[in-house]
Amino acid sequence: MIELKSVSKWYQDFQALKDCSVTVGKGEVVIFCGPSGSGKSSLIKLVNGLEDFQSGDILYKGKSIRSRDVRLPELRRRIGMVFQHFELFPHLSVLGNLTIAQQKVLKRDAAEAEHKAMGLLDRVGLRAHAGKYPSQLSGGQQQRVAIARSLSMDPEVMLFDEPTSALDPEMINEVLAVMVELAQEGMTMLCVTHEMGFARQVADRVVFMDAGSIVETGDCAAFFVAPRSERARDFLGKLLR
Amino acid sequence: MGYNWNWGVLLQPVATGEGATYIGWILHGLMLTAALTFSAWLLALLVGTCFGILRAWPSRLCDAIGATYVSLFRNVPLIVQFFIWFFVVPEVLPTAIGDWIKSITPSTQVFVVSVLALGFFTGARICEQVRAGIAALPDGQTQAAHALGLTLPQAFLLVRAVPLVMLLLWFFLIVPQILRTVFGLSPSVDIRLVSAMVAFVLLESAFFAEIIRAGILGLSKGQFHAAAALGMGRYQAMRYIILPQAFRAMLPIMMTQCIVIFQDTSLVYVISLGDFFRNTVSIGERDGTLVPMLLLAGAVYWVICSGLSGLVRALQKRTAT
Ligand SMILES: Nc1ncnc2c1ncn2[C@@H]1O[C@H](COP(=O)(O)OP(=O)(O)OP(=O)(O)O)[C@@H](O)[C@H]1O
Ligand SMILES: [Mg+2]
Repeated sequence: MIELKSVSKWYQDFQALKDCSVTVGKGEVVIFCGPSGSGKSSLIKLVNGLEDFQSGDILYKGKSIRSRDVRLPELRRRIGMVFQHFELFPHLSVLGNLTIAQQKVLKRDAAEAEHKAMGLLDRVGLRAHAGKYPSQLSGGQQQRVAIARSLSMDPEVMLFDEPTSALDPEMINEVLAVMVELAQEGMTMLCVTHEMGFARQVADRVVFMDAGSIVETGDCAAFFVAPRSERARDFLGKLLR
Repeated sequence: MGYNWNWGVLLQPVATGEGATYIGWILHGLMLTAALTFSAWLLALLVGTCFGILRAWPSRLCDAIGATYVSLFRNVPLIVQFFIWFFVVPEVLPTAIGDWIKSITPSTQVFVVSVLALGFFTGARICEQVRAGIAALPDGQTQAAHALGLTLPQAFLLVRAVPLVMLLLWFFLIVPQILRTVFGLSPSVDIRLVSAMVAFVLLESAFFAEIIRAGILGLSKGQFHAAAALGMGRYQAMRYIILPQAFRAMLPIMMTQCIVIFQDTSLVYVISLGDFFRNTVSIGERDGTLVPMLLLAGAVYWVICSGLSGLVRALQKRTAT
């Protein structure tokens, strides 16, 4: 479904990604991990065109996202994204956050958008909070709203960039529970996360990155039991300690 | 155009004799403007910083003294303050000092008065910045530096008072010519009001542009990304996500700017547009009651502007939550 072909990316003269290749099939859950600054965020943002790249190619459903007839807004509405710092719209209520893009991008009418939104809020356990503003919610609740907001666009793929790393420990599980459910329903997911319990539970594959390169791509069970590369062993050791 | 431009006059000697040319006179004025701006800026920084520290001092009395200063000097237009320093202050000081001031050569007198007026006026604004800077200290060094860094734009605020007068005069002279040519108006139609409007709109829109730009840049990159990730185009993201937030954050500053404009309107004095201030002064001149009339004008501006400031503060409190 998504294919990165030896993609390289530079920020000015700093090379953030070196020759990265990954393939993610429909319904697969792929975890990206690695030390800070290794390029995980940069890589995942390439997929929906929030960042651009200088060489290589990215195919979405077999078609280059750089080809002339691919419009970025059109691509992005098919690909949901969840951010580390939630990025809810503070001037809109929870319901407003979930309906604005449905109405303005998908041109759904207000009643339909609201119906859809309330259904999704039910699903993440926040129906009672529909009228509140983001600042009135806890971090875990905000992140669940953010996931519901992405789902309101009926995405074909979901991108997660460290969705739980800005959360207090007791709130991490409520967010992971929603993500596990999504994975089990067959959503295609690319997740940057260091939640290894979550990875073990749902991941089909793990991609380990370091200094802008993909060092190791492997079957989830194999990666955790016996990482092939020295750097991955190091990293896992630090993570478990 | 119907106006008889006579630039040659610049090179002619001044009518009063003394061998100077008009251009020399203008350049001399420019030097004076620069000296005035710089002296007043220094004074404003000094006074503003002192009162700003006073306002942030943990003492009710100090805070009240600082607040009174800010309220008085911020809520009375600059030109009214000029007049008060010039005509009223020497009268109310002890006779000896008053007489001594009047004995100084008039040009020095005017210069000192201008520096005082500009200095205290701008100082009131700087005071608030300093206070904000101090108040922000516990919240982190960056914020404090940022808030203190804001004292630099105050210098521009000061410089601005002079160009606005220039703008008004320019538009008073040029706009009528253009309008008359384009619309074939007769010379008897009074377009001073239009001239004034054009000058103000041009000047203030430049300010608002900067304010809004700052408001947009102040939003985190994440909000742009979040809007884009939902499939919104540039226009949609701006219209539904970015601008509503930027405007909300900027509303207090925009309203404050509005108060500034209200005060600056008194500068239309220079093009003889009969606004509130000019008419008050005319009455004072006619009846020989300039001192009470000037005090009245100052009081009226103060009441209106501090009322509006109170509104802004209330609004700020509401949007802060
Ligand atoms: N806008 C930018 N301009 C310049 N350099 C950048 C920019 N964004 C990221 N970088 C650099 O690119 C490298 C990869 O950044 P990236 O955010 O992708 O790393 P990451 O793996 O997501 O790290 P983290 O775990 O800290 O989020 C880093 O060295 C970073 O400093
Ligand atoms: Mg990152």
